[in-house]
This record gives sequence, C-alpha cells and structure tokens, in this order.
Amino acid sequence: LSRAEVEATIRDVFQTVLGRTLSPGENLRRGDDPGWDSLKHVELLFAIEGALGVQFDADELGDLDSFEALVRSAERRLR
Amino acid sequence: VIELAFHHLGVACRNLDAEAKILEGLGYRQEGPEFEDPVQGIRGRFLVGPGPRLEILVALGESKVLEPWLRAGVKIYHQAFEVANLEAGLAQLAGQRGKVVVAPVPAVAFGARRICFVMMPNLMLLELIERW
Repeated sequence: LSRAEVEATIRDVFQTVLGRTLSPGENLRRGDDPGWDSLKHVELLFAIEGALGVQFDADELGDLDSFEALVRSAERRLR
Repeated sequence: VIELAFHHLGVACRNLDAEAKILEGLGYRQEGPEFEDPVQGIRGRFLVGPGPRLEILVALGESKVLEPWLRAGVKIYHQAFEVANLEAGLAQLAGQRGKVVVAPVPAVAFGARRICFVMMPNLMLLELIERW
C-alpha cells in the first residue's frame, strides 16, 4: 500500500470510530479531541489493525497518540 | 489453555449508595468492606446475590478512569477471572491479540494480589487476578 492509501484507510477508521472527518494533511492529536479517550484509543488501534492487517506492539500503544504516529507505525509494519 | 475462574463483573456507576440500593432490591448484599484504590483511581464494593458477583465502582477524586464507559452508557464494563499464573494468563491473551491496558499492579480490593486489565479485539475488557 502507498502512504496515501494507508492514510486514507486510517482516515476512514477515524470516521467510523470517532465519527470525525479528517481532511488530507490534518494531523489530529489525541489531546485535541475529548472523544478520543482511553476506550476509543484501543478501539482505534484494533480497527486499524483489522483494516490494514498489521499488529501494533504492546509497548508502543501509548505513543500512538496522533494520526501521524498511527500512519507511521502502520507503514513501518507494512514494509 | 490457561484455566480461568470467574470472579466478578465490574459495574461503573456515579453513586455507590444509589447503585447498591437498587441491587439490594434485587437480593444482592455487600460482601466485605468498601475499598479505595488510589492506584486504580476507584472506590468500590463487592455485592453478591442472585446473579454473578458484582464489583460496583465509582471514580476516586478527579480520576477519569470510568468516564469513557459512563459517557457511553455502559454499566457492566469488565469481567474478572482469577488465574494461577498472571504472566501466563497475560501471554495467552496477548497471543489472542489482547492489549494490556493496565499492567500487573497490586490491588487493594484483593489484599495486594496483582491484577491487570486486557482489552480483547472484540472490545471485551478482561481483568485477571493473581490467585495466591
């Protein structure tokens, strides 16, 4: 998958899980959205894993706190 | 497969007395003293009765630990199991893609036995309690 495809997939997940539409280039951070709470965070991770067929490491879960961080980590796992 | 022994269902609420009163009307009664766990950010009671043991919980002080569940309107939000070997239990759940959301930590409610919380891919939150 290209980076653009990874970004589009994760944007779709954000729409589904957080009900939030992200514009291309928008880097939503966890602290910016009160709806992105601890429960939604885990739900996002599982949904991205399912959509892209990747698995995040247990020790990085707390660091995946922005759209960009999620894209970077997912991309790394797809290489 | 590790052997899990059911212990309780965790119930998020905003007022322990109000919650207990309703459950007592169903035949539940308090089991043991009320407890406070500053590490978990909760205060709670165990209740036993006609159904499974319940752990009713409110947030302690400024803790927001229960807020995602309460905001979502979810009352029963975790199920807890005792396990002989906490690390083996964690490893098994991790092998099923479970994510550790609270790493093993001694818990006031269980006399400092260690507990941990793992979210499973179906968004079911499991608590493992170390059996001594």
